[in-house]
Amino acid sequence: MDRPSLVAALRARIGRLERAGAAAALARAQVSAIPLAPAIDRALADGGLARAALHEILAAEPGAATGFAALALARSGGTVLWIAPEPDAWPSGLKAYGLPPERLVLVRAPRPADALWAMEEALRCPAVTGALLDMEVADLTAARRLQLAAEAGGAIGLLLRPDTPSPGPTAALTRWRLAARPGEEGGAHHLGDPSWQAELLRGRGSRPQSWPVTWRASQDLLDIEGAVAAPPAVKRRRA
Amino acid sequence: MVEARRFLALSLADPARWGAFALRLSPLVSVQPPDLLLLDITGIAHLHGDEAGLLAAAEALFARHGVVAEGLVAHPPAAAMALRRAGLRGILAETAGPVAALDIAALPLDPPMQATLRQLGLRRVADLLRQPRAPLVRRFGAGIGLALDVLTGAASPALGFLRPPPLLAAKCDFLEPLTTAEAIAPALTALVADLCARLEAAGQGARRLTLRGFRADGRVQEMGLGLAQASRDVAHLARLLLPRIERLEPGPGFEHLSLGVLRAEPLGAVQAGFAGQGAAAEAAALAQLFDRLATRVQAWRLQPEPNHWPEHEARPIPPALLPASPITPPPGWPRPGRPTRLLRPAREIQAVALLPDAPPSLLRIGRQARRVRAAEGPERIAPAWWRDAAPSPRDYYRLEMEDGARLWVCRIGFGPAARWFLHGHL
Repeated sequence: MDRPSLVAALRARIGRLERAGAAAALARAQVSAIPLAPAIDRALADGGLARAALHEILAAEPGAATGFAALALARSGGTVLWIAPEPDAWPSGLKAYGLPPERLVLVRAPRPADALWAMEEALRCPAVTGALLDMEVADLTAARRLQLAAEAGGAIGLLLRPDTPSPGPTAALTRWRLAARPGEEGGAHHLGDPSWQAELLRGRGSRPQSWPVTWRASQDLLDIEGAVAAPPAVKRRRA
Repeated sequence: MVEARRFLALSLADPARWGAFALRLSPLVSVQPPDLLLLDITGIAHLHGDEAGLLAAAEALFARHGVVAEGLVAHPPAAAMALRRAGLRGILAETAGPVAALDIAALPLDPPMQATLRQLGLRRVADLLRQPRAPLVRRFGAGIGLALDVLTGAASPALGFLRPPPLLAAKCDFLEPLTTAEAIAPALTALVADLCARLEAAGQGARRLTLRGFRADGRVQEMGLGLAQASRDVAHLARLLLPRIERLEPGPGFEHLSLGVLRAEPLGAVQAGFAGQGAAAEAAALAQLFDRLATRVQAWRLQPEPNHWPEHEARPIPPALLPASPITPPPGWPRPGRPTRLLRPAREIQAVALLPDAPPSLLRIGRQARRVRAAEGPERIAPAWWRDAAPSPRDYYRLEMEDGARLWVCRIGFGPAARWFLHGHL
């Protein structure tokens, strides 16, 4: 075997060993990654947000991070848990991102130890497809436990944290920073579709990138500026 | 053949304190102040050999704790109690004779009525039973008739039992009292396995369990467990019960553990293979998850309501979804422009608006001043005016700030008295 193919085979083997626990769970799921937008999916190693894994979202702005997280949870396709010391997720707003109230379960865990335990239990349950923990998890060991729990259960785990300039090491598969962006459409008296800046800070096999995105609820797609032109039905109004 | 009911009347000092302890002998215990415990022992006698064995075991159990207890086994229960209070002990197959010989003081009658009866020459229960009932009742009231019927067994007395009897129970005695959680855990697991085997044989699943630990000092520790979905899965029940051992106080140690099923539901046979697929398996897995989460945290789903008031647009309901009552949003739900996060309570902020009913142009949240770039609104939401003490109407604005952040802000009141609140993030 020549050198490049040997290296490729070794890479594949290491990849399998690293995600060994996820193999059974991934085999259960029909789609192994949650699609976000074609341009973003191309940049991610798994072709989307990988299932059976933990992803970290630094919330530079609460609304943008919530919208992005709701989008990912909605596209996971099944029952979703939202765990926080005081959960304030509201189903009327989340419906616009595709997450219906019958799939959402809220969990109130004032103590950090209880919240981590609840997240682990939720990720291990095979019937749960997504779980979000809205809490600062500073302990790397705890985050690693959640990653292992996600691999065992097959759900996508999201860690929502407040934004910091130096986030430190992470056990999550990818790390994002979500900030709000002033929308280009709409005027002084009309808000258009919400616009965010989605920044991929870390990802296995991906380089850091940033995308200006807009959520088009009517078409259920995440539009990227400068990507394929929006369909003609959407009128862009300049103030 | 219907088995005749048998009752054990135990007289001892302070029956209220030893009532729960007597649950070790029988599931149906009634405290009869000031000095009696009444146990329903129908069908239990064979566990101790025969009724004599049961009586000896009961008296010995109390004697071990330094309580002098004397018992009488008889039927009906009121006769057993009256005869025990009159001093009889042992086992009585038939009570008509001894009851007839009782003095009328054994009946729950007022002293004036008793004095009148003695004056009339009716000193024994036999005398009263010989009298025609109707004139007796007409003279002394219906109470005397009921008391006589209860004593002879023609009517059943109103007995209040301490605890509801379990449908199934698994029990275990220990030679050495258990004091540590590590010792209690395997015993509890064995009880759960025994109980689940019997539930399977009966085709039932448990919904409500009760665990009772009888301590070596005569006190009883109890713990209950409820399940969202009927289950007889040994691993699931053990995982729910074992952490709760921490809440028990063994004190000098548990001599006897009893695990009972208070409520059960029919549960069909579950196929052992291919258990991972299917909507029913998913629902079962979710129900087990919610059972486990309920031990440490609170979980709920939100049911959409046809209510325009923002805080009441959705109502919390238990998380286990029943197939008979799914969550369906009412038509027109949700209203457009609602936030993804609703702050509770709403945060008071300062805002500057150019006109009284115009959207704000500047917000001061905490110490930060932020300029408003675009605004939609106002959306006036008025409360239910037909209720007393309704809050004031609110004008909601959807604001986009300079940096792109979107906020759901409301104003209560007008002009200088206006108050602004940040109610949510969009």
